[in-house]
Amino acid sequence: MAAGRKSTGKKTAGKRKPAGGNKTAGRGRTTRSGAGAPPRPGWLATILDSITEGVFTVDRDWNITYFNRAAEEITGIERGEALGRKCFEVFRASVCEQGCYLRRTLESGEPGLGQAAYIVNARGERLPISISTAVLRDERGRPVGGVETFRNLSVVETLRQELAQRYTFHDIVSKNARMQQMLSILPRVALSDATVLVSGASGTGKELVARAIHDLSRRRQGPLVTVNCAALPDNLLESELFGHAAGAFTDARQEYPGRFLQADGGTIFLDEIGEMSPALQAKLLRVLQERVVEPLGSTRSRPVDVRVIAATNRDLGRLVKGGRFRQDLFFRLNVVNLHLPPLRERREDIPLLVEHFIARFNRLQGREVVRMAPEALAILMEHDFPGNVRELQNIVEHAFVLSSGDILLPEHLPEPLRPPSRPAGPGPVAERASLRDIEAAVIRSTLERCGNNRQRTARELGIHPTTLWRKMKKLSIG
Amino acid sequence: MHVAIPVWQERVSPVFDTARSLLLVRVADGRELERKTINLVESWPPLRVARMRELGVDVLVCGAISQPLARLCQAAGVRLVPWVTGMVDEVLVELLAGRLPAPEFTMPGCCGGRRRRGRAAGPAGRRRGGGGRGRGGRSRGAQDT
Repeated sequence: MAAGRKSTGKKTAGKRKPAGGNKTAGRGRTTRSGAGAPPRPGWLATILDSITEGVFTVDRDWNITYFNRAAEEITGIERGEALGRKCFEVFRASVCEQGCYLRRTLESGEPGLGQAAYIVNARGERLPISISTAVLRDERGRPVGGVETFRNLSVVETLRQELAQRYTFHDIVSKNARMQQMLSILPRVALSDATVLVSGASGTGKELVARAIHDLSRRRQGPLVTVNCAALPDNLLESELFGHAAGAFTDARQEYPGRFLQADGGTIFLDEIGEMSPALQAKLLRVLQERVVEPLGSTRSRPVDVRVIAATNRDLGRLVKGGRFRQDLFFRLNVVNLHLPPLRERREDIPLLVEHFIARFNRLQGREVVRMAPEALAILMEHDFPGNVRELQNIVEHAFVLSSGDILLPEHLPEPLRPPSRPAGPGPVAERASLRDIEAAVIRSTLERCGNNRQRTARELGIHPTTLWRKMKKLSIG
Repeated sequence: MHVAIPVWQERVSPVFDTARSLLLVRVADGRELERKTINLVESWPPLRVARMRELGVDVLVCGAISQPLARLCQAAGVRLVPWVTGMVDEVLVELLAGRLPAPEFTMPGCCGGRRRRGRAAGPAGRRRGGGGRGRGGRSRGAQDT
């Protein structure tokens, strides 16, 4: 058929008139000349399959009647599986139940353009998408169904996140029991408006937690202002936090409101609070107690409505004992304490996080890395990660740079992690190795750490004890 | 044992993450003892799972479910039977008879889209309606990892 089309095309091309001739011959239609060969029914499908937007059509009973190639790619569902099924079974969008855009279009007759939603694809991933809808009509103008086109916005969303360094709570990836417990109380903490102290080593995601609290709080429409207390010298930090009046000091030509007033109605996140000087601690305490700020060089106090979330990678209790942190401020900040365990204490999250970062870097770099080789993953499972999740992210990024294929291998890891004097290439063993070995290793080491207590081990691994038992049986452990 | 099924128009909700209504059924010895409908207002995944725990849900039969939410459910000890579609009453009958998952009650592309990423997934992984679940058993591997 394709050959037939080709030969037809050639014939017509041979008969093509000079450019000037078209004007008279076509009378506005180009179909009679070779350049404008009439569209054939089969072309439409080819055209629709060549675009990057997903397209599907439904009949009046919401059964899918057409599903293009991009729709297959985005949803992860093959056309043969999709055709004839209800659209909500296939599309699985956040708006299917409440406020289906296509339903709205079919009811109103008005097309919809660029409406936001997300879908859950066949891998269980949430993909942000943009949806446009229109009514399909027969030759008499009667509606016979609808068409929905959709764009995968994952890449755009990832780039936006990367540019703004603005990650959401969906970026908190963990199945660790302690993390899950912390996450489950987060909404209640967020709604309480209480001051929160987030503690944990560097790179454990304290800012993500702060953002999650803000996003889930009643202040979510207000600003979230982040200040790193260790990044500025003391005198600058004071003016940065509380502002200054014009002429307060040399070069202070203009009034500056300060971060607290910028965060009015929202949340201020004070990172690395343990680095703050005693003098500034006293001023911060006053703000927390009286809810007013007094800019440098000003005699006027200004009321401020701000929720404070502080974070530290240091043991504030110990700093208090050592006299380096005010006890009264500590009590003011430590109304709710959320502790983030270091990555070495939640090793079960490493494969999940690796998968998460692979997906992110695939989107950012337009790559199609499928996975990390089990041998490389095994090396990471043994590593202590002093830099925690941030270090793991850097390791995956490093492996992306060195790898040109679709699997990240041990030799793509940074130097200190790379296995010494390894023969080049993964060899057949690496290809044969499976996650089964790693799973077994993780279970064994967790069992050992938990003194062979299966309940505790299951809790540590974030799985049900029955699941642990079944896995142990399957992997011939114990 | 408590079985929960998110409901929409008497069907299993297509997406558990956004489901607004939950049918909670108390069952014993394969028989339904009691049922009630619960409003689900929690959209934050950890809170949604905390609600499952409060309700004492042992088994959650649902349609599509995002990975983070699925992981939370598993961590909370809730047994998942995901990617299920159909009329709720029929699904419940099948569940109580131990016939879930079944091809006719399975969403398309239910096997985790392995074809897209892994490319190496066998044809069984893409068979319509529950193919790849292996000898008719639950796809536990997909849920527990």
